Amino acid sequence: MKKLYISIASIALLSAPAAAQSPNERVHVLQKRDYSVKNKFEVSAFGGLSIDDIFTQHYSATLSLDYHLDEAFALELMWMTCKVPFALGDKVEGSDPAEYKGDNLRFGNHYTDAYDEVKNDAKLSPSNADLAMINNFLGLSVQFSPIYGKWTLFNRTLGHADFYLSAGGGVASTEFKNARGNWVDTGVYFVGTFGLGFRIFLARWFAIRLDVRDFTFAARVEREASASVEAQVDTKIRNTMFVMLGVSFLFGGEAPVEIWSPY
Amino acid sequence: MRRKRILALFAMLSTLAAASASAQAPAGLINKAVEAYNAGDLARAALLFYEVRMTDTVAGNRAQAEYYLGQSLFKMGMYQSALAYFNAVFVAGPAHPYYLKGGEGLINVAKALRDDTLIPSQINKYYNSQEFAGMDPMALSRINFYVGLLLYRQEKYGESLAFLGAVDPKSSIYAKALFLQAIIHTRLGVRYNLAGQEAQTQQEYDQAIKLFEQILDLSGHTKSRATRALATYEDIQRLWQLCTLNLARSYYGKGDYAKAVVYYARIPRFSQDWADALFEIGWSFYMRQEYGKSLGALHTLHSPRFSDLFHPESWILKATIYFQVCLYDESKAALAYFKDHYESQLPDLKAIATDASLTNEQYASLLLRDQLEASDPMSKVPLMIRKAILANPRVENFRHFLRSLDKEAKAIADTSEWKGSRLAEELSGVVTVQRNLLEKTAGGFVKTNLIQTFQTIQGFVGHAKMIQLEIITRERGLLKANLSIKAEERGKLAPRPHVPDETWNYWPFRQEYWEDELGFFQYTVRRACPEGQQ
Repeated sequence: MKKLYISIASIALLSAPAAAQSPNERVHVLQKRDYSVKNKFEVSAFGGLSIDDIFTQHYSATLSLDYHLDEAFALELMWMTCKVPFALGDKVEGSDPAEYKGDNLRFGNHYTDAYDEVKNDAKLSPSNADLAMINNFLGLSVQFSPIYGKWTLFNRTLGHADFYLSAGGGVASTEFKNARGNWVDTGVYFVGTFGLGFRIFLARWFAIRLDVRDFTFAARVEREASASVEAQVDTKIRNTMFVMLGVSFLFGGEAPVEIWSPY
Repeated sequence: MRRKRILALFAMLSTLAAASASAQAPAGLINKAVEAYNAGDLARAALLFYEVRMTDTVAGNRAQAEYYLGQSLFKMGMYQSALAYFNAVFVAGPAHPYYLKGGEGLINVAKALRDDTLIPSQINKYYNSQEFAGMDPMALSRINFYVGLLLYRQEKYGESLAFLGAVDPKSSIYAKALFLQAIIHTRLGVRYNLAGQEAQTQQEYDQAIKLFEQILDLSGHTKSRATRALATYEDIQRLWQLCTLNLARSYYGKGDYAKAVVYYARIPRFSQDWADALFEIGWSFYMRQEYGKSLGALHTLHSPRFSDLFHPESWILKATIYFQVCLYDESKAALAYFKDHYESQLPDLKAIATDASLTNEQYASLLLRDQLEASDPMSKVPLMIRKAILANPRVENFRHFLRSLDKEAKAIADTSEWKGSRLAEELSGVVTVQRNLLEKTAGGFVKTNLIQTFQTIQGFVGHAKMIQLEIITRERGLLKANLSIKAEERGKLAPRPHVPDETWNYWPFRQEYWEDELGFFQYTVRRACPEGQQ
């Protein structure tokens, strides 16, 4: 069933070998789940890094609120931002589409080597749609945790974890940096998300989460007219994948089955 | 024999106390002694009080000095020495102006030395209910408890209950007194049960249950009240756990196995009483014919965590369960384990336990020494049995007493003001005598335990043989009925246990012990009995 042994140490927790089992009996372990999440709320905070954009790389901060319908399914509301929340920068007078100054508002961004190669070696310009970066994302997703497991680290620590998949959608605002170094607002898109990850429970109320989440959207960005090229609209299906590491706080749900004892 | 030794010790202490004055004390010596005492110069005060006690012609001064000499020594942590003088005051009787205080002093020494035998015997001997009525109620409660404990050990249950029932509810010893009363009712329940007196059996167990619950109720079942109770009653935390265990035992005794299971399951995993709870819950499940759960409990008990545990009966229970479900090979395997690990130790154990050349002091080394040299006869005691003896709570009391005596002997020798004094000489004698007595008592305790262990294993050897004989009879029956002797060719393996809901985890056991799984094992076994045979 949902048993995932990540036994880092190759020996069992208690080392003496068990006697060979008789064909006339089976031994089972039936125990109350130590880290039950059923009916719990989970508030998480993540720091993330985009890893698969060809031309850009940028950082994100994410807050999420999960409600665990049961041990396997959860609904997740997520807000991700890649720059100082709700700050756009100083608008350039008369710009249309709107352009903003303010490089320092993003959590960090840079162009990749691929961008330099295209730009400098091939003397080509990637389309603005390729350069669009997410500003803010707000979405809802469904999380499915089919695997719950435990692991031991050198027979000293016993840990529990669950592995999950998530899928959902939401809306995101994006922007790109034009030749003048201003940030151009490219509007709001519908975004589909798909991800996977795992949470390592350190306490009934606390977990560490590692999440890989892909944001897919159709970037439709206007290319400015130049001497050789007329103004046109570039449309690209963009996948921006973030690796996010965070912490979770869980509350509510079923109280652990512990008979009150005075000792 | 032991009682004679105890009496001899107290006789010696009394002799010391009764030593007559040989010279007149300088006038005002008692005042100097009191001044030193009040100033906290206890070594000097003790020396001066001793001089007054030995030389003063005024009886009142001698009496005062006698008590305060004890008190000075007590405050210096020289409990055995203090005992000598408190005892002298106490045995002098009500005529002594410090009679009651002497009794309280004895109780304080008993508490400090964790002595629940020697001093309680002495108090019991001189118990004077009329005079004791004037004593501090808390001190009197402790006296009543100790006397009750002593009488309980002598199996004088009625008298013991009377003393224990007189303990003041405000006393810190109150919870312990309740607990002992409950244990006495449990013992009486067992006694009536053996006599086949069902109504009295139930009555005694009900009374025990009521008392155990009363102790648990002292916690108020809330953290804040429990914290207050922890500050009020001695060892209450330990008592709460013991009450839970004994509630389970009482329900088991009443034949209410379902409730027994509930209370056994409340014993925290990995706690001091867990092994006992696992074994006993195994019996409870067995009585409910929940053999899979019973074997599951034993599976934890037989896991590497408890590899050194002395539990011969658990293997007999295991063999019995397999026998009940007609898994004869498995039953034989359990019996073989018992034979290899327990029965095989009988010759060595008998040789040690009945060796007339060994002195009690030699037996005592098993308890009192941390490391046993190869030449020590006690090193031949199998490790599992040694550990079982050392697990007895009284062992720590012996060790505490011994450490205390050694510390005291050193302190007497190191007190510069006493160098060459009669006081130092006298106190050294007292400590030496007590140390010798302690070694003898501890040795007797070890010897008794070794003999009991031998008898326990021997008793189970008889059970094992009975099961073996029954298996042979059953196997013959199978052959006669033309049925396969192999269990796997008879009956079906039961399905895996039902998982109540998704908040439970099911893991198959694959010969690998994970610590978090201990206590959660369940077996499913093949129902291999021919129809109509259970």
